[in-house]
Amino acid sequence: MSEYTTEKSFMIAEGEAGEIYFYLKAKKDHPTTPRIIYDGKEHAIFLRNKDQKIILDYINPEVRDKLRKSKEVIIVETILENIKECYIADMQMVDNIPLDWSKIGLSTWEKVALGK
Amino acid sequence: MTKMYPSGENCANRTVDESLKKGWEKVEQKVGRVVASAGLTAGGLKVTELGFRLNESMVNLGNHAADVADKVLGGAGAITGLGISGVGVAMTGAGVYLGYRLAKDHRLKEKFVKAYKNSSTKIKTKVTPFVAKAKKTIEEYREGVDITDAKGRYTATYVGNGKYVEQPLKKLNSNIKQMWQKLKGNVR
Repeated sequence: MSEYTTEKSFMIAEGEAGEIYFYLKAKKDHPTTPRIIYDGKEHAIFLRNKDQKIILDYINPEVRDKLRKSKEVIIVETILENIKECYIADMQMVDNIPLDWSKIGLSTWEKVALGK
Repeated sequence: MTKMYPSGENCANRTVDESLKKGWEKVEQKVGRVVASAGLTAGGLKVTELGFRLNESMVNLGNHAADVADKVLGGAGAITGLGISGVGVAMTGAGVYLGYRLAKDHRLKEKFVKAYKNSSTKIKTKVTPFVAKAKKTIEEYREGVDITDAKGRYTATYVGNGKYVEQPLKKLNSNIKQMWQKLKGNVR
């Protein structure tokens, strides 16, 4: 799991037409094959390019269902209060992401919310 | 109407509104801690790294907390252009909080670093840790990224080795820009 980084703090937004936006901190270089792998549960994996894998941890429970139904989302990368770039990322839904999240210190939204 | 869903470990235990409250508590703690223990006196001036820490916090806090912090730390008519080689200094009754105004964006941090190079040895000694942090921040934000001004207007692209290349203004989707205006207070 060492090749992954965790985003830790980001915003998901839903536009008026139901489109989903991810606001993330700006990253180095430009994305080449942006894709999000998601199983509808706690965490997703954002494949920004071949060597850059980012865990989108603790997806807000209120948006999970909408995210599950999305075929693509808009990624907006920001620097302080400015937008670095924005692009479309495909959503790849899977039944289960075969990773043991606990091994990298990730838990569930409920546990974190309760401070456990 | 835009709906927002804060996500990630740092957001999992608070709603958007709650984040403002929590964020403001953090500011209060930092103000107390920095003033109490980390304040440095340079030539009779209180110089702290509060500015940089506050900037990190305010990005998280949202406009409300930022406004409150503004009033407490530098607003209310207490701003004075003290000028250390052209860098503004925010003055309050508790002392001078160097960096609060400087930390609004990384370009101001750059000015801070430049000013530091021209400042006296005494001040350099006192602010060295803050300069190191500012430099690190600048490099992190700079590397291979487009630089925009406070209004989101494109200014240049940093291409490494201290060089910038100017390019035509990037056209951004207006929807995205509008949403960003609403969201930026709640995104780190």
